[in-house]
Amino acid sequence: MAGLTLRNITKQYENGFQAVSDFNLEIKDKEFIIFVGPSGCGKSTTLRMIAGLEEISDGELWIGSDLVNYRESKDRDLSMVFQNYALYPNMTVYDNIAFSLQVRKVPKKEIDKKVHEAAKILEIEHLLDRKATDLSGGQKQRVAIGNAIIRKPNALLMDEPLSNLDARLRAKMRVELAQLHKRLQTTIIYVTHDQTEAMTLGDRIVVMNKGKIQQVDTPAMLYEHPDNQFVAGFIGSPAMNFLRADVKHNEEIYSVTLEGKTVSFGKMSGYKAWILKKKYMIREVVMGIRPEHIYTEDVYEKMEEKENLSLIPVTIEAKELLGAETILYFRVEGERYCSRAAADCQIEAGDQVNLAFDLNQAHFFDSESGINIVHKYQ
Amino acid sequence: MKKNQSVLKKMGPYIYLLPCLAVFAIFLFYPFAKTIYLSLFKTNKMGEAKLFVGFENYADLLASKSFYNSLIVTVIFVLIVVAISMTLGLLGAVLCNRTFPGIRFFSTAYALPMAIASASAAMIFKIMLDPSVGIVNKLLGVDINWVSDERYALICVAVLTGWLNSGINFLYFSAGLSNIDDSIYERASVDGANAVQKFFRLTIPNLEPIIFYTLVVDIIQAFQSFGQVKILTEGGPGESTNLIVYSIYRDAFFNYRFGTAAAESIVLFLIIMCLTLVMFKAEGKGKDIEKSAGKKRNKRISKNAAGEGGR
Amino acid sequence: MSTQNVISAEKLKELQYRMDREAKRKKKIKSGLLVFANIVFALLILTPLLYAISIAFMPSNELFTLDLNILPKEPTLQNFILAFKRIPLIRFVVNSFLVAGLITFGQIISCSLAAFSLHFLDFKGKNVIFMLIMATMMLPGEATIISNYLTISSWGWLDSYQALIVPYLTSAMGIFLFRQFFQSFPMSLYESAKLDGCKNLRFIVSILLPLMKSAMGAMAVYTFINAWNMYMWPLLVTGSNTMRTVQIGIGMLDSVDSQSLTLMVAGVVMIIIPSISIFIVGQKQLIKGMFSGAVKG
Repeated sequence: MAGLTLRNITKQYENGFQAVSDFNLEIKDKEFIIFVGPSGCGKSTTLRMIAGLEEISDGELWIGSDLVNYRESKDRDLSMVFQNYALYPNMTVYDNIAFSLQVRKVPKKEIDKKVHEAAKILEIEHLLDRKATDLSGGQKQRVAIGNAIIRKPNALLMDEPLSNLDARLRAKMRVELAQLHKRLQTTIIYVTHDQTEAMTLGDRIVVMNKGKIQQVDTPAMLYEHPDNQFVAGFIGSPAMNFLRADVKHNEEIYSVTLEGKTVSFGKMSGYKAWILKKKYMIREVVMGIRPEHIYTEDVYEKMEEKENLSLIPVTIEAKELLGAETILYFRVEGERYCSRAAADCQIEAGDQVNLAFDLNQAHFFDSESGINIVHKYQ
Repeated sequence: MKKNQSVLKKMGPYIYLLPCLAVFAIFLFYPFAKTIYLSLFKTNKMGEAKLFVGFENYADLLASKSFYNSLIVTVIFVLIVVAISMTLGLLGAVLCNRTFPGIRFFSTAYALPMAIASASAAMIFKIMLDPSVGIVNKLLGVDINWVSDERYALICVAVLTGWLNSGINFLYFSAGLSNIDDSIYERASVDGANAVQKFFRLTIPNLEPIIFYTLVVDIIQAFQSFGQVKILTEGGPGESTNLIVYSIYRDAFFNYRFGTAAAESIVLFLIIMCLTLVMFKAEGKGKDIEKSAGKKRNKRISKNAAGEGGR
Repeated sequence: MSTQNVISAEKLKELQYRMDREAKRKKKIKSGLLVFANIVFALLILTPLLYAISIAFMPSNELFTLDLNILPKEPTLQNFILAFKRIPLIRFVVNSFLVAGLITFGQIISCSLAAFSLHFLDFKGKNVIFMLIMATMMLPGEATIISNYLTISSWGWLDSYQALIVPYLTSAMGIFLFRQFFQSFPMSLYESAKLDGCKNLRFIVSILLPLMKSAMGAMAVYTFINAWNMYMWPLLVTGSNTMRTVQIGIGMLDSVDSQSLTLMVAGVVMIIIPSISIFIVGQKQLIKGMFSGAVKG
């Protein structure tokens, strides 16, 4: 086991397309790190470069204190779980799990012991004699993981391991993977396009888009302090609402105009307000506000601190009951937004209601670069 | 009028089948039955059944040294042919598994023998093996009369046949290789396997269904080799290359013993059928657990194969 | 522990440069070896053909030396010209084209009709008929060839085109291939055509036919090559120069006298050209048609 260092890693294909550019990351030993991003963002390519399945066009890849750019896959001492599991169809479950030890000529007795250990952890002991092709999706998944954990590799790589499972099984495996990581004390690099998986599993998350790292942070930090509009929009479900807003100066009250209605934030204090006043006066910004920070009127009434909360009249377009909560959809200036309300919310589609936007919780992004204004002028 | 139409409607499906079924009936089912019938008779020179003799033709065959010789020669021949054609086909397929510049030329070259007639190939081999001017003797620096020497004649015909059959084998193996999921090789790399381990633990086992299928096809096809024997050795020297098919041809069309020839054809048919069944049984036993699509696939293809052999 | 401290920046640059070179060299050697192995193997496989071509251009006196004579010193077309003079090669080629062409055409028609019926239509005994047809694949040609010969001769068809063609007008393999191919079409294709009032025959001609190109291509290449290369049956049923096909006719160049070895090879080269050309042109189709149905299932 060891940490990994990626320095200026770049992947450029022969046709000139850059799948990954200038990727810098230190992965600590025993860390559970997640690469997340939309498809085509370069996260899988990065993982495959680490595994040695793709050539690294430029940059350095260190495993522990070894530079391994040119080391073949088989000599990097990693293990990997593939999206389609890549089980060897000709072998039994036992051999599938044991394969990496068998090719290293580990004594049979030791292999046998380890296979049974791994199978026990994953609760697949009863499947050991089965053919790999006869298993269900969830079982295949376990076998693939079994193969990956039987050794103590430098790192365990996982390429969208849960994406072929149904929702229920995915949720179950997510919990088990988290437990497994605690138990194994191994570095795990995990690729997914699903932000929920990323948020629940990762110690740290690397958000990628178009081949570039957008932000590397803990789940909580990503959620509360997104570096830019992409991260803000990608993390969280339902996604953050973005509104174009004008910052205006009106009788010493600084305000944001929304749908022709001026929303004051004049007494809003702190760094965010200060930057808005200093740098964005009479300019347009993108305001990001999470669905849970748009309240229904009854919630608003009960709140004690109503400073910087603005009621805006909207027409509800649709209502989605999710059991523990309700999502309300509405439109502002043609764009569709949503609010997260209580499960017992009485508002129905078609109702005209006032919703309160909590500007204390809002994020503001530079309308050109998409960077969080707080970070831009830090 | 209405009745007529409905009859036509009912007959429709059969009408589309008619051309095929007619040809099958006249040139396959009927002659097959007739062959069985003939095999129970002594015939005249015109091939007319003259005297019912029961199983005497078969009994004669089983008592005949020449027939046993044919059987043994055929078995040896088939073994050599299958070994050569499988090896060549597999080697070609493995060499063309990964892309490289010029791969199209090479893969065409490896498949090419399937487009060459046995007769044409036999004539080319004839000159290559010619004791005085042939390239083989010149290159090897030996003076061997290849096709007139009992020790070598059979091997020569077998090598030629193996070469001819290697083309289609190459296509089968290539298709088999490309059907293996690339990601299992990637996983094996990460797991630490080297090229040799990957070949023997992944490539060969995963190619097994197609190898088995090709084996069945090859055996059936090898049993039916004729043109090359006719042109290269005419069954000789002695009877060293007198394969069953050639022996049938000789008995029927030189000696006019149609009854005997018919009996021989039935024996050949039985041998091929039994071999095929036994092989499938063996395959089935080895893979009792595996009821996956792979096996169904095999069976389907093998039927397919027997047809090619029959050509 | 930070990796920066392990190696100095300069040393690292140098190391990286060296490893890069090493890796590139290794890659080059690997792909070089692969190409080299392919060249050797291709030479091995193609030797008989290359040698035949070489001999075909060799004056016959050049052949008869004890020296190693792989390439003709004075290439000549004489062998080809003489081959045409010695035997009616053009007639043989015409015969073969006619026979192989008609067999191919006939098989495509009969097999596609049968496969259509077996896949799209519903009728009594459908499965039995299909099984019966598939079972014929197990029947070796030798089990029927004698009786077929007797049938043909009793009809007085010996030495005629119909004797060469008619017995091969269908094939179980072809039916299987087309049926397999039809299975990739949704049944609704047929049903909606029926609802539109499309007659079966029109459905075949105007809807199926255009969709069947790849399967027909494969079938055509395969059938033509096999028919062109037929040997035993034409040997039995043809006797005169007017009916012989190339594979039988070319044998006439053999066994005349040893001087004519080069003639024979020239003849062989000429009759190989059509089947090889068709194979090369149709190879892609053939593989696509044969393996998309059979292997992937």
